Amino acid sequence: MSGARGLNWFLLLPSLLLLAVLLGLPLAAMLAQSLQPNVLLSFTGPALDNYGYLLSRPYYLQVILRTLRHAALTTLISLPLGYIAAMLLRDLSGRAGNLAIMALTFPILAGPLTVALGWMALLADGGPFLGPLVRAGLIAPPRLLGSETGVIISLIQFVLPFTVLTLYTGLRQIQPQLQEAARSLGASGAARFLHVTLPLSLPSVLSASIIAFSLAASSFISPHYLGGAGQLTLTTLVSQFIMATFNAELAAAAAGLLLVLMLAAVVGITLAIGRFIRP
Amino acid sequence: MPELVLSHITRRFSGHTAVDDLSLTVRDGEFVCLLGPSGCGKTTTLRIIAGFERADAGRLTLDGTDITHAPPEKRDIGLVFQSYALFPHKTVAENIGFGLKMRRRPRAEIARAVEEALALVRLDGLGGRYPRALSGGQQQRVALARALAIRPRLLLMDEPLSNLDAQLREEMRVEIRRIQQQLGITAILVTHDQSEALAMADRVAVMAHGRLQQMAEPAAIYEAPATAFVGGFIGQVNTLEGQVEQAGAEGAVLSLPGGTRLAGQGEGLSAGSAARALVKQERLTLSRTEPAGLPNRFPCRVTERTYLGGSIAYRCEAANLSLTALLPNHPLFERFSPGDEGWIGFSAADCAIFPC
Amino acid sequence: MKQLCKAAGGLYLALLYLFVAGPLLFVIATSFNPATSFPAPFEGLTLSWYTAILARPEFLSGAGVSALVAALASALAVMVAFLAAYALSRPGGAGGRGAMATLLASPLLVPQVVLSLAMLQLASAWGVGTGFWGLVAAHAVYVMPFALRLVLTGLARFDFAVEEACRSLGGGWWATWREVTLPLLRPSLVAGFTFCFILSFVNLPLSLFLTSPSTATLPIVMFAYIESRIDPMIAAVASVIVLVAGLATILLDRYLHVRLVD
Repeated sequence: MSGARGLNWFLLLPSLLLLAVLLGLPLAAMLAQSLQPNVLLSFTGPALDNYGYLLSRPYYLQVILRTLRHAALTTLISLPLGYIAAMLLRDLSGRAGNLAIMALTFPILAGPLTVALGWMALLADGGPFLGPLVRAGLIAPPRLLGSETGVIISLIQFVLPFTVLTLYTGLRQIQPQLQEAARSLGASGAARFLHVTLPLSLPSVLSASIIAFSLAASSFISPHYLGGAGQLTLTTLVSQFIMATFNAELAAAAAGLLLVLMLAAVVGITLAIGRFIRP
Repeated sequence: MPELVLSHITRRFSGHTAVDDLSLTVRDGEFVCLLGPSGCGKTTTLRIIAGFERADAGRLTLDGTDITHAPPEKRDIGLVFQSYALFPHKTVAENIGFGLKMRRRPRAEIARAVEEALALVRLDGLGGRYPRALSGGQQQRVALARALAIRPRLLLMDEPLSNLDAQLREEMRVEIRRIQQQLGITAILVTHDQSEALAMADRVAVMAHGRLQQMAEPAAIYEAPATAFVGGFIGQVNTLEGQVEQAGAEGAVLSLPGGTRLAGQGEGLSAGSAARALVKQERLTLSRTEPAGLPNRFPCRVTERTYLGGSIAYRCEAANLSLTALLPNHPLFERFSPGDEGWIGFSAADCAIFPC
Repeated sequence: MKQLCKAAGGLYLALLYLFVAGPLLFVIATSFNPATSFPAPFEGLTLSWYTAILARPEFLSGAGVSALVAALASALAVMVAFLAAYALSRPGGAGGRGAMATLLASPLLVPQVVLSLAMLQLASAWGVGTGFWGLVAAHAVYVMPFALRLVLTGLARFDFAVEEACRSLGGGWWATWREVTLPLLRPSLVAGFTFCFILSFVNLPLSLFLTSPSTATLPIVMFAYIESRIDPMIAAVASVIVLVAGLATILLDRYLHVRLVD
């Protein structure tokens, strides 16, 4: 319908404008700034020297690798945890199932800041779990706050509701009759999972991986509160550049790097999982 | 006079032509069924008449006024949807009165019209219910009442009975026909169900590949199909392909591969060209003895018997052809079993030959 | 054996939920603890931390700013998302819907800190301050994909034939929207707004570089407060947010029958 097509573009215009003006333009301004000289580096812009600077200093390389490591570990751990939970939730029915799914949206809505407060208390050496053990002299203070372990624990907790919900949606879309068909053809539980459920759930595994990786790599609150200055990631590095060292150009370059790395990861994950998706 | 005229209507979608140079006239007060297999363009035609689809070429007039480019809301055409499309957030009465509300009629008039429409479809007293509290058949009646409440110049129905179970469907056929007659309204119903079309329509328009194949009274569509498509689509048919041996006003002879010759009737045939003979299954006779009066008769063996309740279908193999005969399940008709020998036969008048 | 599996499954889910919701529950518990350090062993029950909030006007004004930003950003996002979702869901519309939906979801892939920085640098490139509207802009872009998702879910269950029914009965396009489309989609629109509102209200990183003392949102006020000290009062503030989020969750589920998944 060509008449309808005209109308469609008319209706899409506001959202496309919103994206262009409030996302495209700011990102363009940021990337432009990332190509400019600054107090630390003098060069005749626009050039890629800021990126070169970040990529050639071991300290910043550490930050980049840490960001990727956090995201990768969070994804790898939360996927199987979430998959099992989604399978169990799928078998729940009626009110219990509704309630369980609703409960998962609750931490998302409460927001990561309140959750981070909880982790700061729970993971502290004097907290409710570790405190008594430390005071009784049973364990040495594990110093989870400010450690990579602490950050990853809180990232997994932050990401899990999203992965469970995504996988749950995908698993629910698989017709239950397929299970019955496989069963009538003699497939055992393991075979049914391997040959029916898993292959058909791969699209949702792909989306869940992308969501988990992006959320973890772009998280600011977890590394800031649970990692601190010793565990900088690209997001907290950006805020350091802006709020402590006042270097807007390096901040822009760090943010640009984060964007590029995330895009590359999304493409990589899509290629890695996508080739198993049929048709 | 509300007379609908479609002239040379064409609608193309990317790649294929859904409606191809369609011309037809629906007379005042007439009930026309658009019949055809899925994808034949009948629903697109209906949507063009309703105004939801535009025609790429052609003209549409209702009552002598050109409505080709009028928006749907200005056409005064009632439409009954396959899914009924009742407004789930409005009561039955609000649904039925909606068209009049859009026309800014006074409230009292709307209330009166709703009562009348409810009575017409025999749903008195259900005006306060919501659609989801009604059965499928009742929803169907509300959809009809809603379309009729605006006193449309034309009533369109898109497969209105396809979501009902068999018994209710038969009932609604009679009901819709009764209401149409009572109001004297011009109506078009789209269906893929030939018995529905034959049972309800004053005239049936058979469509295939976007083209009008034939438009005639039900008996004419069944007895005298104009094209091979119509002959093959309507009823249960045996199809035999061969070469025209002889053609003329008094009859034609078709020679089948293997040498068997059939006497039949057909127009536009020329000797030597390929052609197709169509014989309705219930026009075949199956007997133990040779049916002397029939020009087409062949000794055969029954290979398969299908019990259909009201009738019995026998699959019969003759020398070079295989035919299915449909015999009434009645004591006057002989019974056969697979393996039985017999004679199969049919008249030349029942053997319609079409060029192909 | 079967029973054992079921029990193991139940235990697994219970542990997972404890892990996911545990920190929140602990924050709530801490807010009633009279001990002045954080964390500290429980010493009793008190509401004094909640009354202490009232003595700090920046929290109240922060909540006001957050509510205003969230309301404006969500309203803008839901309006824009509704139009786009409608265009993407209409039968017989343009091809490339999948690509368009992906494009419109692209803000999800931009880290919030990056968006905040980008907005700041656009403002400085133009030589203007970021101000209140910069905040609204960043929040609107960020929540729009969530609104789009919820409205698309609602539209997937919408029978577009009712729009045609309305038009065949004489309704123009505006009457059709007013009488049929918008009323039937209201649950999705309200759910979309509520969800976006909460997401925006609790968000810290989006506002990180965009606030001034007069436009500090509640999470920014909390952020500043935590930098200097951490005590149960901040847990009380967090608990209030959790309470609001919890009410919103129940509201979304109970009264609107709309969830993130379907």
